[in-house]
Amino acid sequence: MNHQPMHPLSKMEKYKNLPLISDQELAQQQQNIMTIITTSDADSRNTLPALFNRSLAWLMAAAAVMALIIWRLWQDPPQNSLSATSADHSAFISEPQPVEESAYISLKNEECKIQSEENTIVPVIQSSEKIEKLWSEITTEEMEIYLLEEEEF
Amino acid sequence: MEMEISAEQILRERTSIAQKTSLFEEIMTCYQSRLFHFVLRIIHHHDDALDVTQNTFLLVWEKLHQFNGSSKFSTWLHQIAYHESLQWLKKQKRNDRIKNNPHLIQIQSSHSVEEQQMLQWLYEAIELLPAKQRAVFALKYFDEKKYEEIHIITGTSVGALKASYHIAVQKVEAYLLSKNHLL
Repeated sequence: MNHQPMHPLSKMEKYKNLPLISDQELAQQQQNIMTIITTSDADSRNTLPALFNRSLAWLMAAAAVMALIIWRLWQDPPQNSLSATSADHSAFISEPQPVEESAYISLKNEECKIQSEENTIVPVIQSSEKIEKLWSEITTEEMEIYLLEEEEF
Repeated sequence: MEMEISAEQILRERTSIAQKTSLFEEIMTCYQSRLFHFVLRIIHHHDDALDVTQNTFLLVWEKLHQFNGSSKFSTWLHQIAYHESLQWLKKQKRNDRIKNNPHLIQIQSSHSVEEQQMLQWLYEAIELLPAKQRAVFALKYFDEKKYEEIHIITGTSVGALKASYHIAVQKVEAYLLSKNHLL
């Protein structure tokens, strides 16, 4: 009797559908997927009310700002504000107060002193630190004088 | 005979959120293992197959309202899993991870030594096939689907599928025959 050899794939028939994953892994994955979809679904359901609440808050804040502006305008009519502005301008263009130059002179002297004492070029870092310290102590008026002298105005 | 969920049931029960959730659990119970094995046979990596299966189910949840009942529900599921697997393989190729990471099939230790060995050879043989041919082979040999259904899943013509499967069988058998003295 001629015996026909069996095809290898036919021999594999009884093995081919053996599972390659455990039930625990499948259960774990199912649980993960359900958690993701229920969470994302709850999120999407909560998105609209949250958006509405946020928009409402912005609207209320805008309304409060508008009310404040209207109240300020009502309290401070335009003609008053115009006169106030003129007063500010007149103050600005009025004669400057006499300025004491002693502070500026002392600053200059200080710088010269450093240079003459060391008789060398002052290191840039040290010098700038010193100047920075002096600048921090200088008043607005002193600075204006300094700038005028340096023609940077 | 494996359990199936009909297209009519899907169309009927996907309307409300509560019904959809319960229906989805039923879908997973019914198809999770089948889809995992289908994906595993294409991408040949246990952990990645789990990820791709998870992505597939998340897509199914998202797109369930788009299922129009023109095909069997299981066909629609396999179609999504097939495309997800190919996308994954493309991405892996781009990342050049395939060369660096050996593909891993975890054969359950609960199987007998003989079963483990047979599965090992079978999957080694499948790994020799190109990805699309692997999918065709998996759908025809393991899932015993008809060519018309495989055509819907893969979008390949029936003629090309028949040729592809024929070539795949030849390659797999040649590999298994090389292990002939053990078969």
